[in-house]
Amino acid sequence: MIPTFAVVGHPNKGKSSIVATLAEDERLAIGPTPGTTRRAAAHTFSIDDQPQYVLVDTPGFQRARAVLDWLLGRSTTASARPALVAEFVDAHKDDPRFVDECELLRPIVEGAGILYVVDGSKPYGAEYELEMQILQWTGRPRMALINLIGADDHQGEWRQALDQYFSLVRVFDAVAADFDTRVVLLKVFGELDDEWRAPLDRAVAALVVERDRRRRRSAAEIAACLIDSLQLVERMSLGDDEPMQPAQQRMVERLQKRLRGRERQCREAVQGLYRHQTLEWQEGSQSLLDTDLFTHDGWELFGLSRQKLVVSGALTGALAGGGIDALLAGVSLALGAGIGALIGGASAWFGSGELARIKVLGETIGGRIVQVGPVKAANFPWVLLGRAWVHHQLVAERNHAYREEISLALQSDQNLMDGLPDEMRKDLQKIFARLFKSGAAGDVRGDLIGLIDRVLDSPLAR
Amino acid sequence: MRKPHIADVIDVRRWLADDRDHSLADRLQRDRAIGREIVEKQDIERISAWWQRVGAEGDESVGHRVMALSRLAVVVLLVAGVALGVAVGSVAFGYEGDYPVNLLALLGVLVGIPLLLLVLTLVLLMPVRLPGLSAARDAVSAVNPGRWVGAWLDRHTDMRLYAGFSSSESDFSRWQLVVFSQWIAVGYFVGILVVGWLLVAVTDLAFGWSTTLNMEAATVHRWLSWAAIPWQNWLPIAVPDAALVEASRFYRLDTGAVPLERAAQLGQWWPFVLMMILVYGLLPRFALLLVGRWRLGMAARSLLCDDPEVLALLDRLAAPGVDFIQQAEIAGQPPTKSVPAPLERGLDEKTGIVLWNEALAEGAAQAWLSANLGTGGGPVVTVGIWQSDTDIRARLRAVPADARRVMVFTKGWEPPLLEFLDFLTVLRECIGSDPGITVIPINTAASHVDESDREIWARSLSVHDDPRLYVLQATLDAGAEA
Repeated sequence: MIPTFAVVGHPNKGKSSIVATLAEDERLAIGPTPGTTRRAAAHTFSIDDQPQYVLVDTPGFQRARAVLDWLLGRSTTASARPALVAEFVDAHKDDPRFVDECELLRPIVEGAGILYVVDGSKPYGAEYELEMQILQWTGRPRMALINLIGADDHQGEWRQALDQYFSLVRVFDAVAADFDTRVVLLKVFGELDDEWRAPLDRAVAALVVERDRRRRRSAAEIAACLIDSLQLVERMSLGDDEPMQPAQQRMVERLQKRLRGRERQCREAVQGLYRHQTLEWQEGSQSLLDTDLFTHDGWELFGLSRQKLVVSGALTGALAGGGIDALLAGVSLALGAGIGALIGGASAWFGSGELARIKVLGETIGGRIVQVGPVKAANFPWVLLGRAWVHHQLVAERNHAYREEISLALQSDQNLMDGLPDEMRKDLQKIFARLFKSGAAGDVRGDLIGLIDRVLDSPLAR
Repeated sequence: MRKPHIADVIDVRRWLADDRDHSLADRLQRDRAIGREIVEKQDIERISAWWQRVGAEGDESVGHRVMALSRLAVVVLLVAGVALGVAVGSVAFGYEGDYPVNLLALLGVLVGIPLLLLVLTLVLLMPVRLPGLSAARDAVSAVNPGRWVGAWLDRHTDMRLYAGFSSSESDFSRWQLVVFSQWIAVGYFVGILVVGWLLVAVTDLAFGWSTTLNMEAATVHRWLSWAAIPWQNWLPIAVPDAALVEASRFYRLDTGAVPLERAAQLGQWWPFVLMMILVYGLLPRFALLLVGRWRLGMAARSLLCDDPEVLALLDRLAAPGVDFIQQAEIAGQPPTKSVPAPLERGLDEKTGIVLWNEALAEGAAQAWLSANLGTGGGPVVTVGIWQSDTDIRARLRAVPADARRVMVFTKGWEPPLLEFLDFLTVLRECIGSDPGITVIPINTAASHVDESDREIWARSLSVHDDPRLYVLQATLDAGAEA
């Protein structure tokens, strides 16, 4: 039988949040009003459509005392109690008074393990014992999860009570739990029944692989965005008498709009990879990520500092010049590398202050065709990558039960990309130089994906 | 597609580029579903099987059109090569009967120079990284018309095939160039051989050798014998002997008429000449053509298999679909109406006080009422869900019979459950229909819950259809309820 876990408990103690976190489903109905969950809903974790385990989100107990009264009134021996619970469910399946109880007990009497959820930030109350007794009567493997919804801590008193009814008691903050915590919890589920261990281990292994795969796929999306963004151009035909300046301004704005759109598209793809489809509208106006792509502050925050840009530019120039030296078999006495470094560094120095250095071409084929772009500002790919890095980090870490707006505090208030290891920054600079020079020719795309994957795997200084 | 045609490479890559318009989730689902049906193990075979299921547009695709163009280019280049060979051969074999055709000049032009170019080509194709070699390749390709044509094709078909023509990065474009150029060369040598054979067949040709250098005939004979080694065993007629070499030397100042026997003897060079052109001209080019086609196939294969989009496709085909399948969930609608706050002011001794589920200690309840509403009220009754209805009813008898209202303290941090509504029903039955019942959700610090929590209680209790049921407001002035 597929391991099945019924997530049960008092209403509003975070059952749906736990399911949302473990099932990575932000669409689950989670609300402050009791009774938001009205029917048991199964979430089946599958690998290639092969179910590995099932989580059942259930409504909370509403009339625990009445249920227990019914059970106590027919009590026989301990061995008959599970059958009695099943009898209760069968007898009250059409009773509107016990809709919630039947919904939550049905998966249990059908063989599900029990994940009993309490709120460890609120005091323990004797009324919970009725629920725990009912669950004990089911005879199913059970585990208690102490969720922490508020700031207070009453874990001690809860543990004392829960230890009497549950073989396993664990603290699990559904909203703050990161990937590793979720994986550990899944492994603990396997301890409830030996037969459940193998499928749960498979599920854990698949989740770990899937996590790396999501990062690699995100890197591919971000690389595609970078390549596209560095190739975008705007063209417009102008009449002979039409002034250049306003048209140029309009084209710049249109190009910027398309670049913003491309970045948004990339973000949506990354969010889709992490199953955060509805994240965009939750972003608050104060979010770092809402900083416009073309603001000076945004470039200061996400890009490279001018000093690092100059060093990177000089390095690229030296490499190009070094090629000439090699061609001349060293006769040039490394003059090529020196001049290349000077030119590269100087152009980075003078170009770094510009928000978006944009090339404007004038042509005379059947009138004037004006072209704006592609963006040539040296810091632009760094800014794009920095923003994508922060966005990925937030999305990858974000819990599916978390409903608050995205917020992020960075350790430094500027030049995020300066924090990359030197080696990684040099490699990126070489790739960006190739992108500027010849687009995504040859292996550039593949190399870029590999490098971005390394960046995404690096911890963000925060 | 074990050996992918360039048509497949182009079409698959174009298809995948357009496919990005679909959501990643859709692509993952589709490709994994296909991937599970594919039994082939090799990447190229898996791509082929996938392509058969999703795309394979047939002969009208861009890839097939480019391939047809490529075939046409081969024919054109071959014909141009033959024409060039015929032209050059006609001039090189030109013999007016005054002097024999100079063998050294003839072989130098028809074999020596092409061999030198071939060696240069091979050096440029060397995979090793030598100083300046990469720049030399770039310099050569920069003036190559093939680069311009490739760039034009890239621009008009969005193929990204020849973009690396100048950068020594693109194996495909380099080997494509090799193949095209070898077709010209093959045509060129075929043209020369054809014109050479025709001239031999229908005219009289005489070959000789001449040099200003002090060179003995034996030395020349030795060189030519070395050159003829590849065929000396099976075609001895094409190997010049020492006497022929000796007899073939001529000086332009020697204007004496050539005897008929000697003229016939000088014509005996033709098998050697044609074999030289065949073995050192045509065959190397043909071999390089075959190698080029083989390497072009490999390059096309890696162009396909190393493409990031194709790698992503292979990943989607192979990666197990990890997913949560959610059963349709039925979410409840929160009540839209709300229980009002009480309007009556003031408390007296005839106000009943009920503590539900140990929301407060008895003394704390009266103290709370005194602090917040100005009076401690009447006797305190404690009830909870661990008591039976009968017990609860017995305890509620302590509520004054003429009470105007009953204040019910409950844990505000706990949700309002249906069993609390059951209790309110019992309470109403016990105190009659007139007294108001005011629910006071209290928090863990024995203070009133905030307005949002009160609202949750007020809305939840609205389903209990009792017109005299109230939920106390969160913000209280001392001595007043509302």
